[in-house]
Amino acid sequence: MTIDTRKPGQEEVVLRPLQESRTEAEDIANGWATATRRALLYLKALGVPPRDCLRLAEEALSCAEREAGSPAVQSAMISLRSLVYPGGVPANGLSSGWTSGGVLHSRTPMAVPPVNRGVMIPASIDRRPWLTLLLRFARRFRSSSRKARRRREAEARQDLQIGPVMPRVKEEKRRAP
Amino acid sequence: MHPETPRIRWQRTARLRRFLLGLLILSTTLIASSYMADVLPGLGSTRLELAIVIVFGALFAWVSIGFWEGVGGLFTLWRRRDPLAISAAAGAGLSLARTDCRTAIVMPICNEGVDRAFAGLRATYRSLEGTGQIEHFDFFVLSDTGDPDIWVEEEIAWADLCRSVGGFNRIFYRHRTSNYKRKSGNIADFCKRWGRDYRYMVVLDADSVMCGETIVRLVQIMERSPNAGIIQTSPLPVNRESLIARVQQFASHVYGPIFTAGLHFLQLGDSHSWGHNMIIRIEPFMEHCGLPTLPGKPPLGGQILSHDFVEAALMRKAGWEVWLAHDLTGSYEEIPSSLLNELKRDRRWSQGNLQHFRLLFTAGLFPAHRALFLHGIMSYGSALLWFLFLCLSSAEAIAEAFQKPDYFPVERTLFPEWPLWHPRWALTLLATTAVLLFLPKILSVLTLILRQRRASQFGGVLRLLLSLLLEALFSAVFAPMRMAYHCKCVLLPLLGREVGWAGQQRGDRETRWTEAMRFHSGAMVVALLWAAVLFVYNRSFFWWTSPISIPLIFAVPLSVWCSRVAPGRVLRRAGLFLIPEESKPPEELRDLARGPGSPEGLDFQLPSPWQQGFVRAVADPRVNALHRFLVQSTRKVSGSTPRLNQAILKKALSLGAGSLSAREKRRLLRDPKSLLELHQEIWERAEGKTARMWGLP
Repeated sequence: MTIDTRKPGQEEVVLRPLQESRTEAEDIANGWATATRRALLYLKALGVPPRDCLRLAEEALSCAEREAGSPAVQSAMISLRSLVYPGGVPANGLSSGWTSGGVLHSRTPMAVPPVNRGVMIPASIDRRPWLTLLLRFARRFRSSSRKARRRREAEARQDLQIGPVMPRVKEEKRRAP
Repeated sequence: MHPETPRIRWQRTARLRRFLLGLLILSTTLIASSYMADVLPGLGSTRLELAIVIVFGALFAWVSIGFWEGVGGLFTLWRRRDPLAISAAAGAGLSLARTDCRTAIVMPICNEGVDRAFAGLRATYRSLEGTGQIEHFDFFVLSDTGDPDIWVEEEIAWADLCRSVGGFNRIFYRHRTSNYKRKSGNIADFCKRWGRDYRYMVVLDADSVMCGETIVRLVQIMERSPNAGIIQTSPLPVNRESLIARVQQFASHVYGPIFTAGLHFLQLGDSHSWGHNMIIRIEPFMEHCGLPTLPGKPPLGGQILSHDFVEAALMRKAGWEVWLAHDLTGSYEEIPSSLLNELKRDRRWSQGNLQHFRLLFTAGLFPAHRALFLHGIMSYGSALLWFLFLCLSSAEAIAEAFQKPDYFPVERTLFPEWPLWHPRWALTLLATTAVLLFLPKILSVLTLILRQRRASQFGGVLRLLLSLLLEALFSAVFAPMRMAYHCKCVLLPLLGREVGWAGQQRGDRETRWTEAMRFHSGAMVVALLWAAVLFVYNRSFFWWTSPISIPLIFAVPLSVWCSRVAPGRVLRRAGLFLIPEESKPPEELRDLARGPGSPEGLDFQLPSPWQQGFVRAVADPRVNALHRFLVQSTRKVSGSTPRLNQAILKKALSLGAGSLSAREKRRLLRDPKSLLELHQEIWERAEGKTARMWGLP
C-alpha cells in the first residue's frame, strides 16, 4: 500500500527518463501520420479528386491540431467530416463523385417509388371437391329430411286438430291486452 | 347464331387436338404393350410379367407424349402461318405510343451472383432503351437476399447500374427482410406495394436477358389480346462453356423449338408458365393468383414451391388465357454448368412438382392444367418407373436363369411346349422406342436445314449432323445418371425428407472429384452390384442392360469431365454444338459478356477487407451512406432492439466483422443509426488492430 504524501493542490511531478519521452513523441508523430493516412483514404473512398484530397486533409489536420486534448486520429476525422459534410452526414451515397456535390438529377433519386398499396389474398382452393360435394349432399339431405319430418308432424297435428306448437312466451304475449 | 369468336375457335381446336393426342398415345401404347407381353417368355401370363407390361406401358405412354408433341410442333413449324399463334396479335411497328399502360420489369433475386444479375439487367435496360420505348417501363430488383455481404453488394451494383445507364427513378431496388413464400411471396409483395401502378409486369430470373424488342412486342400483344392473362416466351439457354452445358444448350436450340411449338399446338390458350421471361397482367394476377399454403408440413405441405404452374392454372381458372409465345425470339436464360448443379436444381423442382399431386383434383381447374400438373410430376416420376421396370425385368431375367423350363405343362400331350424367345420382336420394340425418342430430334434438324435454312448458324450441315449424333450419345450416357438421381428426388419427398431451396449456383463452376464421389457413389455401388449379379446369372441380359449400368459405374469421372470448360471450348473451336448466339451473338449478349464494368468514381484499389460487402457498408463512407439511404428505417423498434444492437456494435468494434454471425450482421445492417455510429467509431479509433480489421491504416 502506498501513502500519498503530497499536499492538497500539489501536482505530481513525474520525472521520466529520456527514452520514454522520445517514445511519447514518436507516438504523437505516429498518431498524426495515421490521421493523415486515414483522412486521405476517407477522401479517396468518397471519390474526391487527388488535389482536393490533399487540400481537405491538410485543412482537417490543422483544425485537429488546434483542438488539444483528444487523440489525433479522432479529432482529424471529426474535423474532416465537418469539412466534407457541412450539413451533416450525407443523405445518400448516390453521387457519382465529389464534384457533383451529391446533386445528380432534378428529381431526388429514390430506391423505390411511393407505395400504392393493394391486396393480394391467397386464392381459396378446394383440393378435395368430392369431399365438399359429399358434405354438401349430406347437408342438403339432412335439411330436406328435417323439412319432411316437419311436414309430417304438421300433417299429424292437422289430423289430430292440434294447432301449431307456439312458444309459451309468445302465447302469453298474444293473450296479453 | 352468334359469330364464332377467336376464343371459341381456339378452344374448339384445342379440344380436338387433345382428343387426337389422347387417341394416338393410347393406341400406340396398347400396341407396344401387347408386343412387350409377347416378347416375354411367359407371354405376360405371370404376375411378374404382368407388372413388367404395366410399367412398360406407362413408360411407353410417357415417351409417346413427347413424340406426338414433337409431331404437333413439326406441323406448326412447317406451316407458313399459324393463325392461332398469340404472337400474330403483335403490331408491325415497335411503338407503344398509343397506349397509356405502364409495365414493370421485375427481377426477384435471392443470394444470386450479383455481377451476373445486374449485368443481365443492364443489357435488358439498354436494349429496351434502344427501342425508344423506355418511358413505358420501370425496373425493379426485388431482393430476398439473406447473406449480408451479398445484400450490400447488390446495393452497390444497383447504384452503379443506375449511374452507368442514368436509370435513377426508373430502376428501383427493394430488399425484403424475410423471404416469406420465397419467389412467389417476393412477387406478391411487389404486387401489393406497387402492382396498382402498372398494368403488366415482365418477370425475369437472375440469369435472364430479354431483348427490348421482345418486351415491347409482349406488351403490344397483351394490349391487343384483352383476354390474355399470362404470355410466356420460350427462353433459350446461352453463355455456358462447360461440356455438358454446351450439349444442353445445343439440344435446347435445335430440338427446343419443335417441342415448344408442340406444346403450343396442344395447349393454345391453356398453357403453363415457367415463372420467368414472361409477361403477366397484374390486376387479375393480384385478384386470383395469390398462392395458398398447403395444409401439412413440408415436403408435400406448406408453401407451394413450383408456383409458376399453379399461378397459370389459377389464372386460367379465373377465365384468363395463358399463352406460350413459342415463336418470339430474344429471350434468354442460363443453365447449370455441371451435371451436379443440374441434378441439385432438379431435386428442388421435383419436390415442387410432387406437391402438385395435392392440387390435381382442385375444383374448377381446367383439364389441361390437371394434365400439366401430371406432366410435371411424371417428369421426375418417370425415372422411378424406369427404375422399377429395370428391377422387374432383372428379377425376371434372374428367375429365368434359375427356373427349369417345363416342356409338358399339360399332361398327355404329344409334343413339348418349347419356351419361345423372339429376338426380332424384342428388337422391333426397341427400335420403336428409339424412333419415338429420336425421330423428333431428327425432324428438328431436318426442319432447320430444309425449312428454316439455318444450318449455317449451327456450324453448317455436316457439323450440325455430327453434333446431333454426339448429342444423342451424350444424352444416352447421362440418362441413367439422371434416372438414378431423379429416383432419389422422388423417393425422398415421398418419405417425408425435405429438400432445401437454396439459390442456384450460376456461372461455369467445375465439379471437384470429392464432390462427384460424394454425389454419385451410391448409384455407382448399386450399378456395380446389379451388373455383377446379371453378369453371373444372365449374361445376355447383362449385355442388354450394359448401356445403363456402364455409365452408372463410371458416373464419377463422367460427371467431373463433363463439367470441365476446356473440352467445351475445344468443341466450340471445332464448330461442334454451336448455337446461333455463339456464332453471331446479339447485342444484348455482347453487352452481357462485357460484365458490370468498373464502378464509377472508384479509381483506387479497395483495401482487402472491403471486398466483403458488410465490411464495406461499415467502413466505406459512400457505401455506408448508400446503405443507410436504402434502408430508410423509420419504424419504431421494440425496447430490447437498440440494446441488442448496441451489444453487437461493441462486439464488432472490439473483435471485428469476422466475429459477427450473419444474423448479427443483418441486425446491424437493418439499423442505420447503429451502422453510422459504427462507421464513425472505426474511423476515429487510433488502435492499429481495430483499424486493420476494418481495412483502415
